[in-house]
Amino acid sequence: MSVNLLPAAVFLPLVATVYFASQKNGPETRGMSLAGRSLLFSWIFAALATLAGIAGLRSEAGIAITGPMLRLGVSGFEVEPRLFLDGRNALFLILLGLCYPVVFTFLRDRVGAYGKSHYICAWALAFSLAGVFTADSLLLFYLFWEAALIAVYFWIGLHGKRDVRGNEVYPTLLRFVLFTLAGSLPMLLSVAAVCASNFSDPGIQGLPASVAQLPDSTRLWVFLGFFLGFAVKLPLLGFHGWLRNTYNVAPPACRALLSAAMSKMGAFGLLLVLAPAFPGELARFAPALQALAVAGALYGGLLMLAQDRLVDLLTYASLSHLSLLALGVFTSAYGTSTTGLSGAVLLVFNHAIIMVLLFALDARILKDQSSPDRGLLSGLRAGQKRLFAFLLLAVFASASLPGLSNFPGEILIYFSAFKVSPWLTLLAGLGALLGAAALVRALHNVFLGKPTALRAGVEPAGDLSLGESGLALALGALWLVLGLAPMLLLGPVEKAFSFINSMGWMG
Amino acid sequence: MNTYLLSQLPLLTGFGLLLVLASVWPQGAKKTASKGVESASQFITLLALALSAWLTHELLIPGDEFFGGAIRVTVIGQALSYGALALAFIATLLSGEYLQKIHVRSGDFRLLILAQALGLYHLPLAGDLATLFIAFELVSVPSYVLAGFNHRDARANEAGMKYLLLGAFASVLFLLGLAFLYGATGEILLADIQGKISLYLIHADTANLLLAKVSLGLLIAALLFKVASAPFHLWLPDVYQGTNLASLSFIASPVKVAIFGLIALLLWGPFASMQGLWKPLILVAAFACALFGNFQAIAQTRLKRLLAFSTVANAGFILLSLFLDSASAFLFYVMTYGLTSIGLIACFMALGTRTADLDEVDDLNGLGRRHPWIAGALTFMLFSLAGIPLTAGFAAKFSVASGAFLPGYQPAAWFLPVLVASIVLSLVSFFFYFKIVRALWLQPEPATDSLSAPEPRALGFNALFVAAIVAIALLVMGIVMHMPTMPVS
Repeated sequence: MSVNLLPAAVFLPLVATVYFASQKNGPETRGMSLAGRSLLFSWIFAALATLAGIAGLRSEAGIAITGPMLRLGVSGFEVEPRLFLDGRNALFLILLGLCYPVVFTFLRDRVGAYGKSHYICAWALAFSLAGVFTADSLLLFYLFWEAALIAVYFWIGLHGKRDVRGNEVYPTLLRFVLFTLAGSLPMLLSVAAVCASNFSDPGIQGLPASVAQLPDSTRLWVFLGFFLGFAVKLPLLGFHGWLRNTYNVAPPACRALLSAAMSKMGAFGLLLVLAPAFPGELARFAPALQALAVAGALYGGLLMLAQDRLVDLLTYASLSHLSLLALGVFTSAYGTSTTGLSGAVLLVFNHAIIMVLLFALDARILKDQSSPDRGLLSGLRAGQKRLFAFLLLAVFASASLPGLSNFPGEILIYFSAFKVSPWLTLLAGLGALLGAAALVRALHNVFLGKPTALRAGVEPAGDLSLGESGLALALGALWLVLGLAPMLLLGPVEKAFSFINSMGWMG
Repeated sequence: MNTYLLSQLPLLTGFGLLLVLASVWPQGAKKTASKGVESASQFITLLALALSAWLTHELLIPGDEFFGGAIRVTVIGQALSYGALALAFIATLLSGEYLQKIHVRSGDFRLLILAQALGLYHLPLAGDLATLFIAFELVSVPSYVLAGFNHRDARANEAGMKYLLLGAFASVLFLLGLAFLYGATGEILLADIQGKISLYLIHADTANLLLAKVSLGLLIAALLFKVASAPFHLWLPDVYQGTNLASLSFIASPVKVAIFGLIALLLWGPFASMQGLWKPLILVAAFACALFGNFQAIAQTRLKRLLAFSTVANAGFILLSLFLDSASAFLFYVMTYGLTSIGLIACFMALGTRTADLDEVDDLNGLGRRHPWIAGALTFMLFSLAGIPLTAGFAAKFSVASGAFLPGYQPAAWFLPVLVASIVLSLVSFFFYFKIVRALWLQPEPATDSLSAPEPRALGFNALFVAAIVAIALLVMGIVMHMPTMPVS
């Protein structure tokens, strides 16, 4: 393809942000509603991101665009604002593009309850995430990283709701912000240290070479700074204190994107920053990190057994899967094999396109978009046949049923872990099994059986419309295709990693 | 023509003209001058400051010495002098409408400003002990009067009195320090003092070194007191709280910049060879700033007190920048700090009501919806204070952090741990910066009964203008500003 769609894909969300900021709030009497316009933007974004991403997957050495060289502030070293796309991060951009139409279709604000700030925040988040996933310069990366936090801060702050446990929005939000910053401020120090010792911003791609020249003790601290930032964002076990309450108070669309897209910032860091640049440190701490990841997978699964509300189940399912992803990185980053890394990239992509539908459908079940409680509701299938069918399919996909798209990625990670120790695979697998069982049980309770008399204020929404069903069907088809022909994605990803491997940065 | 005299001529002339104006049209019982006189005196003050700042930038050449070394122009000193005058100019611009609102004698106010500007001009350029002390007092004494300027307000009286008593105490320490320094070296020129101290160190002249050490201790204590670095910062919130916003924009910005400049010039100048002694002291102060500035701010609910504690937290980073090999990070940080303080005060002025100032954070509730632009500017300045990317505050913190990792830089013992601790502790500052952001954007407007409209805000043109230019300047400085490396020696 001769046209480089990367800048268009990254900057379209910015255009959307500015567009919605320029709109007026108030009753929408004529023309398309804000929700409709946002959906339109999201389809264009999905198309651009997918096309740009496919081009990135296909290209040998990746594609890039570069802005004019800047000299940063007082420090005086050079920063090259550069965006890049290769086999490793192309899937991140595509998943982001695919999430937006799903969110805006299923969670479309038909009554205009939100107003324009909802869309401004959503698109500012899209821009920040697109920037994080494609920025090469470390400073640009850090800029987008913080921008994403600010977008989510305003989104949850303006549109979040007190959750059923009585957690207020603001304290929860503040906790999320402080947690994230506790990770990102040390990361800033690491960025500063790398830039200063290099006299210029080496970028994500140049990071391995410049980190290799640091003295061992400095490198250790730089590693820890980056690790903290990514561990909180993913989150790894022990860094997840913000997770449940933040998901609970967030508006449904934001929640779906938090799990599907924003958690991938951490995954991006593990895969594209830590793995190539710090193989020595990853090897040094491998046992502890692997244990942490396995513990997270198991812990997530165990907690799922104890949850009653679907949204909490999904939250911990997310934690469990993301820990598995981390296991892939931690078991293979320092070896010569890239199995775990490729598996992790596949899992990133599939986790996103499955989780986004799960969270969207969860909020779609009840009219007020609150999550159903499996102890209080049953028999919803009577009025929501299609919704139940797709939800069930998504749960199976999320449980890595062979033939659906989560399976190849997960199995690669299990292979990679097995080579280190069979116990890792066993325990991580157990966590996944528990989680799947809990999800199926929850669906069973909520949808099957006799319809209960509903409490006041709890009213099921209607079944999926034809358009919604079509989109869900398309996603299902995508899972099936990617589950049966994983090499479509795995091929380019493997190639990208072996290309990086051949540069001698890893192992 | 003597370029030194020429560059301060506008200040002296302006001062004289204001005196004439004040005696020809005295402000009578009404306390406020007529509109014409008011505009004329504001114009004269602005013109004097602008001309003087411009001439300082254009005429002075680093390396120049005047009056046998009493005035000595250095790259850093010139930049500080110019910067402080420029900040005073912005603060004066800001004060016009506000002085009318609080009904004070604006003519007298401007006389004080120009007198202080002379001090601001001289402080970074002083080449000997006498000039240093005179400039120091020229900056300090008007500050005391400014703090209590609105004398009908009891809190202003308290602020003025506190500032005067504690400031006078600091002045005494400062003077004593200078006396010891003279006693130790027998020299009056700073350059000669630097040479003498180096000699003492080489010859291990312990008796004189002891005197120099005592002098260093006294001077550091006095100056840390003046810039309100922790642990000498407890007076600051009270003084800020009582001072009117127009006076505060001088006390919090150009005055602080000039005195930080003085610290840098003394430590990099006469005491350059005594690094082993001052570095640990400054490190302790920087750590205390990060600790107290951030944690004490948590409990505050008043805007001026929050500003005061955030000043303390940022002072820690400025002190850390004194450890770097290049002065550019220091200069950039103090200028950013001065600009942000003025910008915040401009926003507070604009968002106050027509009769009263903002006091509590809650007074800002819901203003983001009604006045999105000014609230946006205020939010951006808070982001800058917090060090979020794309702002000058980020570039400033980043330059201090990255300066510590430049190849060839030998960090002092404990410097890196304190730097890391300061950055990690700045996490706490987000807690209170976001408190203001929350009030602006996430809180509903206070309910008013259906008959009365929401209270109108002052939104003076000057305040809006200054807020806008400060926000733009912080953005530009955050992205493209490049400063050359300036070796401190």
